[in-house]
Amino acid sequence: MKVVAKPAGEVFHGEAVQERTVPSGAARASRGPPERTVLIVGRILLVVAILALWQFADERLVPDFVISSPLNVAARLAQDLQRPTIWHDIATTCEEWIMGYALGAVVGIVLGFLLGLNRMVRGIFEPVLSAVNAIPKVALAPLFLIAMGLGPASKVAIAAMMVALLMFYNTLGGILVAPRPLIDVLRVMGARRGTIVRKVLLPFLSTYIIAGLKSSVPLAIVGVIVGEFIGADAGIGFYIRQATSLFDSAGLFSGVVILIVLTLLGNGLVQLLELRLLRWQR
Amino acid sequence: MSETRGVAVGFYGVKKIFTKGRNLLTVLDKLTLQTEENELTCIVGPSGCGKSTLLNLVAGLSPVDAGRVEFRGRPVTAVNTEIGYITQDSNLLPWFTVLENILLPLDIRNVGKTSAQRRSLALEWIAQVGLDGFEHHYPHQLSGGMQKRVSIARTLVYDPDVILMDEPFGPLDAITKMVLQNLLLRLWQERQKTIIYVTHDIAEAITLGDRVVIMTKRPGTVKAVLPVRMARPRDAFSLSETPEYAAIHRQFWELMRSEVIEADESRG
Repeated sequence: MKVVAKPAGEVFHGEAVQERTVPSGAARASRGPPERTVLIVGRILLVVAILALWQFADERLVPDFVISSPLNVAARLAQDLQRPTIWHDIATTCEEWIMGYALGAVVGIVLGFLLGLNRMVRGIFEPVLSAVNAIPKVALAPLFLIAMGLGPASKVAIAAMMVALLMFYNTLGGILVAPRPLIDVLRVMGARRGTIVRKVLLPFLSTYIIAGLKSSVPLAIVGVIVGEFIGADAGIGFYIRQATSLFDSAGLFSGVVILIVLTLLGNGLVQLLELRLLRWQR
Repeated sequence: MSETRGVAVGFYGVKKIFTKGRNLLTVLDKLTLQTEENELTCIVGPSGCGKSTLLNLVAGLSPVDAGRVEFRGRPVTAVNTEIGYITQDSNLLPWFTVLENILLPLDIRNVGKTSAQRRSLALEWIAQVGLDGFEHHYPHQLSGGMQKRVSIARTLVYDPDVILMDEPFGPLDAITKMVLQNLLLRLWQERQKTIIYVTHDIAEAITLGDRVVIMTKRPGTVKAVLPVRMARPRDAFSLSETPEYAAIHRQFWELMRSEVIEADESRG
């Protein structure tokens, strides 16, 4: 990924910079197989090795009820996906996840702009927001369940809070380091504040906002699953917790596999957005 | 082109102080200067003497601490949108293509009636500065000299009467610099805009200017204002070979030398 200039450390708030391999087809060395082939084969071998080790360890090194095995998990997953209840769980989690993500992103970005564009408002609000941000957000999750009940609303709220804080700090951080000379160039041209926001600030911030949107995908799902662990009547987190209470590790892993697939799908969607919005960087 | 002269920009007893932590730094002091309409005025001085600050005062991006700055007889109190400002860095918007960057001021100022008119005007200026074929390139895909051309086109396209230029060719290599000086000389010859051009390079000031203002070291004030009696049109490549050039250069350098040397010594 494009290297994002990081301002003050706190601003980038736990941003997980993901490595992306360079999609260059041309191999540097003329001898041996092309770099890309080695890469792909290597990755497949690694996954196969992990699965083989897991399969081997089952019952031989670790009891089955603790780790299950890839074959058992695959069988369970295939069986589960034929039952309508799992699709209801998937739909519930997705709904909470998407709503929490969207709500959190909007609130965070709007807050970032409000504080970023107004020094006084920033001075008043920032200490409180920093204090809230210092709390491990997961610790607040039970509070949302008490306040909003076992339904989807509490999960949406937990995810939204986590995403909003991340997006807020990314947006604010970007605004605070926005290039003054570019803004001055537009002021001399006669641009109004709205034009400066649209032509300079938003494009400049797109890097920061997209970095935030990327890290928010797994963050929002953490919020939703934590909420479902604490108390829910549907959802993948609920499904995993039920399996756990029955010492059904195959069921637990099959839930985890579903979560991995969902997160990868979410990442893919945000990546498409990034390709569109950050065209000018390439 | 009309030859009516008048005062374009006037500085009257200007003082400017910067605060750096707890230290106060007086950059300009008791500076009085007038620049003429339709003239290319070059301002030279040792580095740190407040040349760039002068332009920011005219642009209204920064207020004076004493005295006043007048633009065509009126005091500058807010951002001055009657000027064009070509800064040291090209300051192009990296997310816009060459064409979009040049369209920007036209859209902001509502120049031309239709977007098609604006587009053709922008394309005309892309051709004027020799960038045909690069309309859809992004700034980072261009060389430093090409970015300068875009930044010149972006300013001239909206036809401001007064243009401020802050060492626009400073970081370029010698050849590119002369090519762009020639481009500027040609454009000036065609339009005779009022230009205030800041540079630290005496040779450049003589090549371009009708009049050269020599500034003292910090706190900057005017040391001398001298006319450059060299015929136009000029050619940046051959001008320096003429005997008049050598004489003027020697005269200007005599005035500059003490400022540069003292500035260097006081810096330790």
